[in-house]
Amino acid sequence: MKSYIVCGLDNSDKGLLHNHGVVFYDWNTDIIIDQTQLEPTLSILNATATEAPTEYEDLYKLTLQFNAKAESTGDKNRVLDRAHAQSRASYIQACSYRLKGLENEAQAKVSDGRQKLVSAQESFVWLARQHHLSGTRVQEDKLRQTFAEQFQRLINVPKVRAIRVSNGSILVYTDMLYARNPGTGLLHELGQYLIVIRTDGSDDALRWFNRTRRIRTIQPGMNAPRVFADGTACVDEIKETLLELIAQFEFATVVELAIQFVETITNDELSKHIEKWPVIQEKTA
Amino acid sequence: MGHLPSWLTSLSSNAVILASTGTVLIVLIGLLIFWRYRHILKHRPDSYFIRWLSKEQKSRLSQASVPFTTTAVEPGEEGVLLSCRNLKRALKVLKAQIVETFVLHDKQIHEIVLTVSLPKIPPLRQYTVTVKSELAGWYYRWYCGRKIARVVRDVLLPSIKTNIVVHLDPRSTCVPNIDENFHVLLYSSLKQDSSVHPPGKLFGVPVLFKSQAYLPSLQGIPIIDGATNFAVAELVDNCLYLHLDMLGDIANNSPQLGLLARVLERVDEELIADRVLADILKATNIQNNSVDTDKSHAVEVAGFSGRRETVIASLVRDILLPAVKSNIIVKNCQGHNETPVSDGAFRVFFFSSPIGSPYLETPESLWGHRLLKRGLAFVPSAMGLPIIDDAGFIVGELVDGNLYLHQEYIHCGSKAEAALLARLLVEVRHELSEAASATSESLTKLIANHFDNECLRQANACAAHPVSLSVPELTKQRISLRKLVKDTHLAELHLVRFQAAPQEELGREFDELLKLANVTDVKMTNDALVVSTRTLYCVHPKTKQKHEIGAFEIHIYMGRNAIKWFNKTRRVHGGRNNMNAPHVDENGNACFGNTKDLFPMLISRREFVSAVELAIAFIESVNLDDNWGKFLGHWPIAA
Repeated sequence: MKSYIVCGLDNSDKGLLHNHGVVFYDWNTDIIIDQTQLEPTLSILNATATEAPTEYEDLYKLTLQFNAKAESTGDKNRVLDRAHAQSRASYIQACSYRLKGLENEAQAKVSDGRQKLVSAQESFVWLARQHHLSGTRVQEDKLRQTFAEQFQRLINVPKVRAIRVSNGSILVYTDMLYARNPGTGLLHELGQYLIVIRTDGSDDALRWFNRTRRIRTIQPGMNAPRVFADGTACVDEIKETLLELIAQFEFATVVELAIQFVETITNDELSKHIEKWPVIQEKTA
Repeated sequence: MGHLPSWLTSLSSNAVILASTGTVLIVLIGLLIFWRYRHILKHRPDSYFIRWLSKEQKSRLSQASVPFTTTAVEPGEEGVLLSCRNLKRALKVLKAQIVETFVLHDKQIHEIVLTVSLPKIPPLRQYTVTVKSELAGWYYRWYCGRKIARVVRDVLLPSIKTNIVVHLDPRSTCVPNIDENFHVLLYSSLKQDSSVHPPGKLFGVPVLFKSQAYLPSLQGIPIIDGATNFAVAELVDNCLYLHLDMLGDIANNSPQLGLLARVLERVDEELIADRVLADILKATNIQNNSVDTDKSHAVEVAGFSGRRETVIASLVRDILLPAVKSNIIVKNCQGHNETPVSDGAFRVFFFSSPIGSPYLETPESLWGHRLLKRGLAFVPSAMGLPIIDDAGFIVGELVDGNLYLHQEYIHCGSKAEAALLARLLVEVRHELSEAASATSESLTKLIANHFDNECLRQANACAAHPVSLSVPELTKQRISLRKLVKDTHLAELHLVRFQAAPQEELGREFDELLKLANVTDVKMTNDALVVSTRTLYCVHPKTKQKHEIGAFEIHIYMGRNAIKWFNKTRRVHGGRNNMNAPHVDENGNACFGNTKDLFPMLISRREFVSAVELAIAFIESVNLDDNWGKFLGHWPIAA
């Protein structure tokens, strides 16, 4: 009987398989399954796979492709006739080898943008803070009073369970957060979060970490529909507002907006995956 | 008076000869000595620089009234400066000898590398240092081998306390010898399949021999030059592999004893784990007075062995145990999740988290300690209290009585890694102490104080470096940030769309082809992309009349990066019979001119939209000076 080394799974995927009764064995950071477990594994993970032989007899290496979707016909307003659809499919097949190049190009652009953004954010917070402090011209006593008031506001923000402060970071622990899918009207349970705010705006300024569940959508281990596995959020126009508020020490408002950001579902590609978060009955929310 | 006997005569003449010869010789020798003395005087530096003397050595110099100046040749490279007059006395006081001298900044200051003579203790004197070589001649083994052996003996023997064998031959046996001896292998490594060019200077000593250097195998403790981050050697069990060529061409060069001495000094620092740990604990100012009273609890380590286990067990015992006051279980989880356990014991999970996977890129250093291996670290689970380093990286997490470290951090148990772990455990100890002593009210007050202090710290940081910024300047910054956010947002959406359905991107390209102006149809055949166009026209540059060329089928052959045009409306006699277009012959081949390489390039990259646009533009343009182009007039004028 064949066995398969399944690569590219994170701990959440392994947990999912385990919870669904799939029998597997650890193989370094991958897993090994036998032939009988292949179909349930692919079904649970919603993936297709290509196999390649290994140096061992009857042991194959599986490469998974997640989010396998039926090919759409592209522009929604254009209905292609059969001949065109066939040509389109042939074209895609002929050009497929460019896929990797296209993905790498897209990834490189994003990485480059994010890298520039990190330093630009920190610089902006610094300058905005300079402007804010020079404008207010407050004494230390007055500042302490302002900060004390700010702290009181912070601990009273709805859905905030606890606050800690450590090494340039404000750590905000939230209660359970929910998000409503505007398309279906259903309420989805996201999880309890730790929001890390960098007081100097460095390191992307804000990160969200879900302590309840991490779900594979576009990428594995997503903390929220618009928050990636490393805790950073999809870049959004709200960023500028958040940085401005951090510069002005308005951390209570930052937290309110951060919670609102996670609980808001928009029309973009990432938010569509809210359906993967569990639906709850309204009365338990 | 009688004649002198002949024997007396000959004796006296010999004596005269001898005396005159002797005088000449003495004069010559005197001149030689004088010349040499002048040469030394002329080239002798004013001062000697000695780096990295210990406090104890400096104290001895002071006590012996040897004047010296503490100085630094470069930032971070401190040492002492001695005048040449005091060098001899200093060497005597330090019981050291010079192994190498080299010019520092100018000829007035030389740097010297010293080794301290082996103490005359009988237990140490019983051990031997043997030099082995099959390639070097007897003279080299005797002359240079002695010097090498002396350096190894003086530096390593006090710590090693066993016989040492020095292997001179490069690329000598790679397998560590499991015997009682300690082996020093010059110019070797366990990993010999790759090499790098060494830096120009290591441990302050210029590298003379420019042969490629080996890389560490990472099976042991790398010995790293802090200034260049270059791994000069590797300590694997009872073997020391020196990655650099320190001997050069045996026939023509003397070995670089100074560099060897410096490397061995660093090795010596790593050798004795107890001494390493004692230094580190001292540096972290840990009060050990509670350790004596906590003998009822123990530290158990699983998943680590050898030096790593020693380092981890010692540091956890000395730093964490007094704060935790329960048994501590340490486990190497190797990237797997571990559920928090509440059974009274305190647990330390290396490279683990309650949930999630390693997704965060580890920074280069934590709390100023450079990491030997970076790689990925776990993302916080958010179930507990993050342990954060000074730069904001979340190193680990305290979840009730469980400490999760998000990366392995201890890969070989080196001094640097031990220092990092000590710092981390001190931070954990601090958090535990605060939590243990806090009530709910005092905790809130404590957090409020922390918040207050943190905000004030940030405000003071701004005040310390004021920048005068006008409103328009700030607005300019804001606009620049906004643009960057927007561009990155769009790039991200594009990537996300691509990741959702990558083949859709290609499908979109096909759709774009269909939408191109003048394109009526797009088909794929077995070997070609066939694009059908509407009627295309060409305007005469001089008469400005519009000539109707015709509707086309443009064939793009992917396999051979070629393109052809076929006129579906008419063929016209021009430069040749039955031309498809002014610059396209009867077979569909074009006279490309300056676009000759452009089409194949676009087709090879599958840039078909660009290729088709260019193909249409090619038909719609004309070069009247060309042998074919001049027949544009043969094409009918459009109605």
